[in-house]
Amino acid sequence: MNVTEYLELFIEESKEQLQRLNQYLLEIESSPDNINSINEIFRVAHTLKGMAGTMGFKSISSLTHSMENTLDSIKSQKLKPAKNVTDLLFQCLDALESLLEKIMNTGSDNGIDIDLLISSLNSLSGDTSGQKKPLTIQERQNELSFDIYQVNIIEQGIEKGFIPYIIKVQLSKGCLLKSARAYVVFKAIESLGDMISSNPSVQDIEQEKFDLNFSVVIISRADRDVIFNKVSNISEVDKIEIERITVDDLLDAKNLKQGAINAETTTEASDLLSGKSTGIITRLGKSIRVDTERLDHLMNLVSELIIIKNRIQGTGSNNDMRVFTETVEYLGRVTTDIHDAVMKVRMVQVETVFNRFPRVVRDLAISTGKEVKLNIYGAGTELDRIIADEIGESLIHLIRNAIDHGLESTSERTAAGKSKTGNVDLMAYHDGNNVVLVVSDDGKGIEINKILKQALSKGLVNEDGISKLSEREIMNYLFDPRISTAGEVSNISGRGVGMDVVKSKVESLGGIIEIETTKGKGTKFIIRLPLTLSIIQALVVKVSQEYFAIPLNSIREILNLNTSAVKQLRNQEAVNYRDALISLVRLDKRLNTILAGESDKQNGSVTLVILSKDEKLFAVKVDELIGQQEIVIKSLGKYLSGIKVLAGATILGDGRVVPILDINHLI
Amino acid sequence: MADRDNSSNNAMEKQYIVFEIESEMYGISVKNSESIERMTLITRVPDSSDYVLGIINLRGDILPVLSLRRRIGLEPKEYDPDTRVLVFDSESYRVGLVVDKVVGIVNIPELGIQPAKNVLADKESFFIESVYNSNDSVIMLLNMDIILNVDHSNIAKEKRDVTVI
Repeated sequence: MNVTEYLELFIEESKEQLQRLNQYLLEIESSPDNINSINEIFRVAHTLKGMAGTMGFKSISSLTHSMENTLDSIKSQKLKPAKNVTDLLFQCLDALESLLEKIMNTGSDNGIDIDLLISSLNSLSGDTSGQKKPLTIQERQNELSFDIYQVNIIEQGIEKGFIPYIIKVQLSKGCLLKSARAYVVFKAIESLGDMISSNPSVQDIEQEKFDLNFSVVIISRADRDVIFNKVSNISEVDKIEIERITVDDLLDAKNLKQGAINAETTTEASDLLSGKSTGIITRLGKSIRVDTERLDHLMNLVSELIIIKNRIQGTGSNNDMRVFTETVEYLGRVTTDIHDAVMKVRMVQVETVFNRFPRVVRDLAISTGKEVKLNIYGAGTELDRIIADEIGESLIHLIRNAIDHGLESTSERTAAGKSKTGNVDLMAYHDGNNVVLVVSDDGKGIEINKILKQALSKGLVNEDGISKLSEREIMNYLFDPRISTAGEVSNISGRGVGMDVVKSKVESLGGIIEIETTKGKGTKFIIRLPLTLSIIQALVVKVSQEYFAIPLNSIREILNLNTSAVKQLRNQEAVNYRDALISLVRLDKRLNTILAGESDKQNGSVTLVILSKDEKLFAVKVDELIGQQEIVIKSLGKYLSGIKVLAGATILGDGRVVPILDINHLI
Repeated sequence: MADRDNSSNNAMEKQYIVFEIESEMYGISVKNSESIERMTLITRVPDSSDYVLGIINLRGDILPVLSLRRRIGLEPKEYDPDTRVLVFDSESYRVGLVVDKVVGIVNIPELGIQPAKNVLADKESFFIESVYNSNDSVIMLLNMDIILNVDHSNIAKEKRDVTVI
């Protein structure tokens, strides 16, 4: 049994549940009377409690249990969802998130203090002493331990008008034949309804393997008092307690069992998890939830492949070229479809990233004292799971900047004749082979002159250079760490720290980021990302006898220059490119090809590929251009992970393996 | 994968893939051997150690290929129809090893295996873990951790470390 299988599932599901919790909490905050949201939150808390209980994460289950109580008070209108209540629930959400984080990192939810939250929750729901519920969840679950079969019977019983009870009986101390007495009790109870289970088991009771107490679960149409009277008439019975079993208890029992198909595994799991198994935790893979429809589609395509294979096998024997060509064409279509289908399996809706932003905006609006409205467009846009996971932080950063520095204060806005509430728009859409994410605000915009002043004072540009700069180039200074990390600069320029981090993240994902700003109207950050990371456009080049692929997004230009353009500077070579000297890298030397590449002919020309690395240009000399094509990036494997100059390799149509150059490590 | 070990009739026997280099016999556990492939076109990888021959296309996967000859300090040899790529797959690495010839799968009783250091005292044999001696042949069992666990840029340093063992 693989323990991590359950853990991954748990983490994945909990994340989803927390996201829903977040969403509904925000809803409640804006419309406190929405009973539907309360019900949803209750459901989420309940599900989490069950799942955490199954996995043995006690902190989560007790916190969610207390949340349930509070929510129950709201549901029954004993408690108004006022601001202090929602704030507390938000705190609970934060605590749950950090507990989950803790589980992901260490495999246990110990070490985060939730007692304060629980006692605040309890005082809200009036459950101060805990007297009303003398049993902890765990104890109660032990007492009411049903298997799925029993839960089903009880549920069916309820549908047919039976009432489930738990009857706790205590026999007198002097009772001589305990099992016989218990048998009499059973008989009496069975005359009123159907017995579902007993604790201890009937067998143990028959063999007198119990103290004085035992409990029985029955379903009956009879009233509580009727049962009570009937049982209390039996002699030597000291005490009787009859409780109705609520649907909640059943759900608890159900959740408890469902998650753990094998109870032993569960305990094993939690033992392992709480203990030394950090090794297992760190190996947690990235799982993905896939619509079964997409998998079915993929399955269909694979069966098509098998059919094609059979047809090709068939054509081998009768040498019919026409059928063969047809089949190969069909094969081509199917493989393209399969490729598409597999890509779709990797896709998630950008919603999964956007969902946490309303909360971020809410908190920021409160802390900055501004009125902010977040508008989300295109939440259904799909992008690669990996990109979705990676880009979230950067977007939060941009949103934070938009609210913190972009939007004016309420009074400033009124003075400028704008609406009191500032708008932050978050937009996602597909554009060709790209996903575009836009974060924009209708704030004061960025003043170009102030950026220029900073660039000047930091020596990034001189007076003469300024006139040559395009607006875009000036804006790019915002991403320069020397500018954006300086506190006072960020205040003047209107942007916070860490824009360089955002930029490098976007670039590491193969994307680009642009800024558009209009003074007084607002600022727009546009992020363009590839649809997927595994397929890129590349230029395949030949150096000596070897092929290499260069990612197209780092190529600025391809030139044929006269050999006279190559200058020797000390022991380095450079070429004249657009009135500037840029360094020249001879790929045959840099990559140590077995045979040297073509030497420069007298008065001949050299083929140069101009590459840009962090805005810095350099040229590489290649022997021949093979062509541009879409390539699938494949990893070189762990054994060669130390080879920095390669970003991976790809397999061309003819089966040839071609290394992909990582231009960041060429010079 | 792990089950293959149990296929031997005797619990005290283990299965090894046995192959030849320079007419001597070497073995690695069948447990970590994924497949045996014919020689194919190898694409060179820049900036790699001299015994890393490059990468091959193994049914759509990229597989790094090492020359076992060079790794253990022998001169390279022209590929011939007997040359094979042995696909080794452990938890940490999946690589191909180019060997002169594959002999086959051999059941080796554990009792017959003796530590290499008792027999091979020379520093050049650092990569041999143990030796099995049957009536007609000697099979040297490789320590794949040593063969693979290397600092690509600095073999000299690694050799130093190994002599300590």
